[in-house]
Amino acid sequence: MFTSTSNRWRAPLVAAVFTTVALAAAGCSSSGSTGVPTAASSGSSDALYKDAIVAKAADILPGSTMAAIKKRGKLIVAEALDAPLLSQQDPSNPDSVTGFDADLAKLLAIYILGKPNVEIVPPASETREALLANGTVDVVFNTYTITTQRAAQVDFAGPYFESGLAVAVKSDNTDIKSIDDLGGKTVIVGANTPAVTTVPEKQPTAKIVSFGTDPEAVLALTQGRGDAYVQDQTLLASDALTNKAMKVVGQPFTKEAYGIGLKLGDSDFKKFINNWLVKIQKNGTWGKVWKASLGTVVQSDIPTPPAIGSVPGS
Amino acid sequence: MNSVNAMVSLAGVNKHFGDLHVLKDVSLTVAPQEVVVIVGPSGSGKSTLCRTINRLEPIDSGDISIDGEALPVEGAALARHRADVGMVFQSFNLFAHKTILENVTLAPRKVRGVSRKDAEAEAMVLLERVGIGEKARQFPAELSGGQQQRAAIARALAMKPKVMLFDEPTSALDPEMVSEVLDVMVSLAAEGMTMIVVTHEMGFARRAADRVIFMDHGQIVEENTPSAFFDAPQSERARSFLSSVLDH
Amino acid sequence: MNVLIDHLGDVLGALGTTLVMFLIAGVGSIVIGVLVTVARVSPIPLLRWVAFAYVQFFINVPLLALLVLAVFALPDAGIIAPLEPTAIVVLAVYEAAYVAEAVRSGVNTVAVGQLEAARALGFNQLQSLRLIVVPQALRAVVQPIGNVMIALVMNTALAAAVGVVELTSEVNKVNLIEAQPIAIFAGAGVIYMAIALVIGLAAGWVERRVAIVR
Repeated sequence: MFTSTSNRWRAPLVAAVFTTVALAAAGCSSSGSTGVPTAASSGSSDALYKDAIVAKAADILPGSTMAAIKKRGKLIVAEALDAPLLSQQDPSNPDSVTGFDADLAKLLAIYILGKPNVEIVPPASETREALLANGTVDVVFNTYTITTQRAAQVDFAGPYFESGLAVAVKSDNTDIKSIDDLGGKTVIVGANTPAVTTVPEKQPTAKIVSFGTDPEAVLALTQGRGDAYVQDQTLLASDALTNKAMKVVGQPFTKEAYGIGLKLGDSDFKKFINNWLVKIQKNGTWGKVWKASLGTVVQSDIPTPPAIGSVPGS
Repeated sequence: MNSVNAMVSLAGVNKHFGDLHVLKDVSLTVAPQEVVVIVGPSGSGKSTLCRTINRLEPIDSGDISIDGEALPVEGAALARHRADVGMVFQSFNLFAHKTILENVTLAPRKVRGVSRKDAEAEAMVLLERVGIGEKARQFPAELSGGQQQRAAIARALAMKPKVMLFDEPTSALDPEMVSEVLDVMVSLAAEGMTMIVVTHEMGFARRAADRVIFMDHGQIVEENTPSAFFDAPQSERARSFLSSVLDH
Repeated sequence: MNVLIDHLGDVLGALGTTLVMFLIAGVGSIVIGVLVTVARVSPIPLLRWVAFAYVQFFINVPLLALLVLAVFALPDAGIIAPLEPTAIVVLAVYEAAYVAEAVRSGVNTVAVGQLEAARALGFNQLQSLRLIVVPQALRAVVQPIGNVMIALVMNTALAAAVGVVELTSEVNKVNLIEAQPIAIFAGAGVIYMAIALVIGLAAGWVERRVAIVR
């Protein structure tokens, strides 16, 4: 499972100018899953949804959150629209949002409702906890790293995925080979990504420069505004595939466990979703979703999904 | 008048506002130390004529010279010329953000390069002379209209002008303040200042003018000594004008 | 606010960056804005046109686009400047357009007789503007310029998108750790409000002191 890679990219800060670049980068994701309410889906995802499991009526406890969602007829999800491979809106078809998180959200909607009815609320500028606390959204699929501080504010189902931060440098850089070489260096990170806090922990002398979007961060790296770019390994791998001016060095140096954010104290809903996660891991659906999204840029086998409840805070 | 040593000379001046021909081939010569009063009905072009002399109004054709030098069209030379021509406006136009003293010293300091100390000493002499020395540190809006106009005269005099232009200097004043301004002008005339005064104050014209010019429809219709003009106007237009202003 | 106090050192440092950006860009924008206005009312057609184009350009292009262009496009032209000074320069030239519009409206409040009196006394065009028109125009637009300065403070937050660690960027980071967005962003909002309040009060104070009695 340590070969597992994922990506975490959200850009809560506005990034108008370079959005198209990000979208283009995301285009390589072949999973043609569908987005908002009733849009038509395409390709392998169709089969994925057709075979998707649906919860037994007895599992939808009366008066529970699941029952309320079922009554409403749609699942409200906080997920990004600009996260390549994870949850990316198709610029030519706004109804189509695809990626690992987006597809799982739709599978959860099918599990509860019998159909992939998802309403997306993009979580602006780190408002996920608030969106859950005030009931604006039912769940957060947003590469939401499980931490004990956050677990005091929200509940986490999962973890449903594990990933790690890696280091990228300009192609002609031979000095930096891993996080250990970043002391005193200028390190580019994405605003509101785990790297913002993780890099100073590992390298207190590093100077952190954060940019709003991944394309900006890549541009900053190749233009020499920093010595290295620390980001989720999958996203870096994807960037390096299309940009020969940069390369990924070394192995991931952290383990980020992503959970599905839920309203604090809703233990029935948490149990319900954890049961669903176990089921889709066992029946192979999880692996197919990975293969169709993150798996398109990583040369490796389908990773082993993490065990439910395996990290503090989950 | 001998135009060779004229202080102000206008020759064949024409000026239009759009289709309106406001100055029609006007010629006028003013000798050094002469006081010329221009009268006429409103719209006769007398104010416009006054404003062409320092080119606040550009002219379409004709020649204007001051102290033998042609008025430049624009730029630094025009600014230098204007510095030699004092002007007093109907609406005073004191600089609202400056004290009276600053109003009087600003141009000597910035245009003539006089030191602040010398400019202030000179300014106080002028302000005392026009009777508002105690107002030196106040702002224009704190003064009455008559006081403001006297300050404006002091401001113009501080540049030691060769000629003073007065464009209806008492028209914006309350009646009780008119005389305080006219008194300053009369004493100025008595001291030998060359003056061109556009006014409706016929009493001032009688008392102080060397010559009265009557304008109507953009032309100089009649010019004469004050007594001759007021007692025996030559033209019908002047007679009707005088009867209308003197009657009421 | 509690959560922000736990990270007081970093937050204060970032607040300092915000204030430094505001002060330098603020002074710069007023200087540039006044110069643009002078050009705009000058007798030289080319200058007037350039000033007009300047104002139109910066009022019609989003600040974020300018920041991103300055940070990412200028390096392609061989100019790679540090992020914070780049952001300050962009903020200054951007807000200068708004200052210029405010000052121009102030120029229009200066009576035409003031300029005529200045010209009649022999001041050249530049002296007339510098000594008579602009000082009066500025006194008339203290509050509007105060409002532009408040907008400038808020706009410094956009520099977070191009890597400058100012207040918004820092509280984003704090929230990433603490996960209490309402407390944290409300706290940041209170700080921005306090800055805006101080600017507003200062503008009122300046206005009372320089007001022209008319």
